[in-house]
Amino acid sequence: MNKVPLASILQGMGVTLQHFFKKPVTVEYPEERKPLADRFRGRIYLKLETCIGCTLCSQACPNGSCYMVDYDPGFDTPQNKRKKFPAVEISKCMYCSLCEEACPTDSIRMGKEFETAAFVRDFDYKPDRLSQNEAALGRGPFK
Amino acid sequence: MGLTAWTDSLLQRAGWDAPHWTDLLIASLVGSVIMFTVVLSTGGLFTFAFRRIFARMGQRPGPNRVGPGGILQFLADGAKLITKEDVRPAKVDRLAWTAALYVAVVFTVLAWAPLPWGEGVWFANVGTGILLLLAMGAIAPLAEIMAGWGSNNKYSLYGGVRAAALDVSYEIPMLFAVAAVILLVGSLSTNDIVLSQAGVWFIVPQIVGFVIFFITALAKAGLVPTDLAESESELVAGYTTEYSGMRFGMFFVVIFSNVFFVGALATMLYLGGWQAPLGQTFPILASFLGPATGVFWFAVKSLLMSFVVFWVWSTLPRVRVDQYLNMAWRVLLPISILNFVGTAVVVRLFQTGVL
Amino acid sequence: MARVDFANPRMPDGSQPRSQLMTLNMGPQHPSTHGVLRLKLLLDGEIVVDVEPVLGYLHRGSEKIAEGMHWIKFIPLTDRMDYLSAMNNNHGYVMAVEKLLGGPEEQVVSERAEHLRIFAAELNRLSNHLFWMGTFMLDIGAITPLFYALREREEILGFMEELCGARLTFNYMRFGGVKYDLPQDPTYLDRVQAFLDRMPAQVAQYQRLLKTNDIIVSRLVGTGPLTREQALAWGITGPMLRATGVAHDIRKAAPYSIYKSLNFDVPTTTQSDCYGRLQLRWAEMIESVKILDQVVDRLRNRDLDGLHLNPDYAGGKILRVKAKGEAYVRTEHPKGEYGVHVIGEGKQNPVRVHVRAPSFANLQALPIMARGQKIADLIATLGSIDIVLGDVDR
Repeated sequence: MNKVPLASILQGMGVTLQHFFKKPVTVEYPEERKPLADRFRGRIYLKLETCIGCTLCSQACPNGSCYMVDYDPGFDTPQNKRKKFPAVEISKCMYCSLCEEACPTDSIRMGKEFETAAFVRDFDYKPDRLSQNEAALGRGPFK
Repeated sequence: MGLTAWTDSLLQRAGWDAPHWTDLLIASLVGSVIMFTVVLSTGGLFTFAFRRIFARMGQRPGPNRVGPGGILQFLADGAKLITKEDVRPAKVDRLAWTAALYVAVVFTVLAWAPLPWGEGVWFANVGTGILLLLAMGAIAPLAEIMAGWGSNNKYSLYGGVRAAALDVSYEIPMLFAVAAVILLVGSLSTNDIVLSQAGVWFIVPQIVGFVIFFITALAKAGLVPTDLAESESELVAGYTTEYSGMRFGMFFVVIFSNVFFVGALATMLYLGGWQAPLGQTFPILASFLGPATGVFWFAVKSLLMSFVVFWVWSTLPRVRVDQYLNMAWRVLLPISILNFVGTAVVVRLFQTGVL
Repeated sequence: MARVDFANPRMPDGSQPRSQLMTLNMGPQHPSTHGVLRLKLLLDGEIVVDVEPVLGYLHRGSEKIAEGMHWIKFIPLTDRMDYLSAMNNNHGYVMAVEKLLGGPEEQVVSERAEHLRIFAAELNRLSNHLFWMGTFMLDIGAITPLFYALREREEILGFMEELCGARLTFNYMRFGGVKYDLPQDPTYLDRVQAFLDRMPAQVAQYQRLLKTNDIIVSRLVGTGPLTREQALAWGITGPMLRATGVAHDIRKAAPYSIYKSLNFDVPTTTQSDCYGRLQLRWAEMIESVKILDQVVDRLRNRDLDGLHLNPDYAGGKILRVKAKGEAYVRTEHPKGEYGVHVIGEGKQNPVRVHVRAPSFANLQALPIMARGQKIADLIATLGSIDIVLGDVDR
């Protein structure tokens, strides 16, 4: 190949030209979206009805973005008499899912939402906001 | 009809018999505006074309949102660059740093003047067209050196010094390659060069010269694989490091105009200029386009050559400066001289009727 | 190694420079320093007289943070050290802690979990080498191979996402196994196998584009030479060492996990320059595909014993891990030898975790490889070492 000058360069150019005629593999966001896996780790979602306030999630959080607060959800929570629920600063959260793993009642979960950008910088989600998805909060993907 | 005569006729019709210098002045103003527009918009459009072609070679779509098919992307880029802050570092050599940009733009635009776009379609019908073209093309890289020195920045200095080395080294093989073509033509006028290719395009007898010309033109224009003066991964931005906003934009546009210029030169010198392939006149096309048929063929061929330049840009990595200098002095120079001498011998043999 | 005296620049052998000696700072912000690496260069024209890397711009104190965390919480932090091959980082750490947890008779990790671990680790090795190749070519100036490499890597990251939920910082390995078993989707292994079948052809495509390319050859052959003695003296490991001809691979020399039962070769070459390292990593990609073929076959066909995660260390019990003792485990990370040293006193958090980062050790060889070469060669050499600043600085 090296005997003929420029031959290997022309071969390389053949490879790029071949790709020129192939269909692009890009998924053009936001018009197209790649389907998310079942286990995709998105924004944290809390189920107030089943949380027992055991604080294991806040203990498991590596960077302290999950912490317990006193919160009255407005309805009766017999399983959580002390009314302690987790709050998460989703800007600090590193989406490691250790809280989900530590939770004994499967109340705190990683949802599927990752488009959490907003125009107002209030990412400290108390339990009320944590139990709602982004659309319900008036935020969510920019359309 | 030249621009001066046309201006004169316009003014006559308006009823004003102006002295000759007024015609010249107006003609040159109008001509300059047209030339600047043509060159800079080609450069702008080519920034878009490059991004598209290069993206498709990597199986990506490229810019496709601004305007139909993304074609107005260069306007968006231009608008962005214009609105950026024009930072002038405090300790730059003011003359060199500011003048570099003007030198780059002005001489790049001037170099397009003798290009024969079609039969009788050009900006300047100069008898020594090719000489003017090469001279302007030789001054334009001076801007890289001025920017490199004037920026008071070691990265820019490296870019400028590399540019100087490259320009000097690649000027000579390019001149020899072009000189071989001129031997075949017998005249320095760009129009004559095109007309002499009526029978067979010069790429056939001058294939070696064509390859040499292509490589040296890429080097002089500062394009990959020899964009050492502005090698992004080594020198941040080389000689353009200290420029921001539209100043950087203009350097950028100049580089891309040079892509078309290299394509146009290759077309004019080796691919028959504005003549249709194989000497055919395609009657349907001719009736459709009329006098612009020549421009059509010139544009098609130049765009094809520009595509080849972009293709090479996408594929090849950057050469190291000493390797490229080696290649210029040890490989290209001897071959181009041999090509020139060989062409001279063959032409002489033809003239004396031996062949 | 003597520090370079930039205040009084002199040629190291006392000779006269060809032109004037100049210092140049390739600062933390630079398109090709693979992260925030600062290189102080002493240049004689285009020739590099000396280079001094300055580190620490990405230092986050991971090892100190580990002293205040539960054992389990350090795993996401290992993800973020060498963020391009997070699975291998996880693997080293969990293996080290498991040495402290399980007694000599106790089998902490089941066979199935070992296979899943190697599946993830080798897939990550492939993804690491692909990304390395793309960025290496970018440093030299060829921009398209990056997109071809990323196209393949995208598929791998898709498989990882289905496996553990994340594309870059996986947090997949746990003490006693892995976090999840294979995805519920029955076509998962079929798709992985299809990808693995395509890979050799893709590597061949890269080779067609790059291997005999005149410019690549002239840029890379003879660039960044490292002799066998120098490599052994400086503690270089991984593909850089194997490029000097030393056939040292921890997967063969001190096999861990299921590597003893897998059938693969350790590619070496004696061409110890950037070109040789490029060839070597291409060969390593093929070897990883070979290993993955075998592992996928076993996951699909053989009935592997055990669960994916030891129930003693699952669920809420992840926070109750208490380890006592001292252990050092080394694994074959895509970049070299990755060692984790843990010391525990039977409490919930470790007393000391130290990571022997391969990129940090390999980066030390940069000055000896780069002296006497040109700036462009320095960039190519730096690229060929394959460093990730998260690993260098931790």
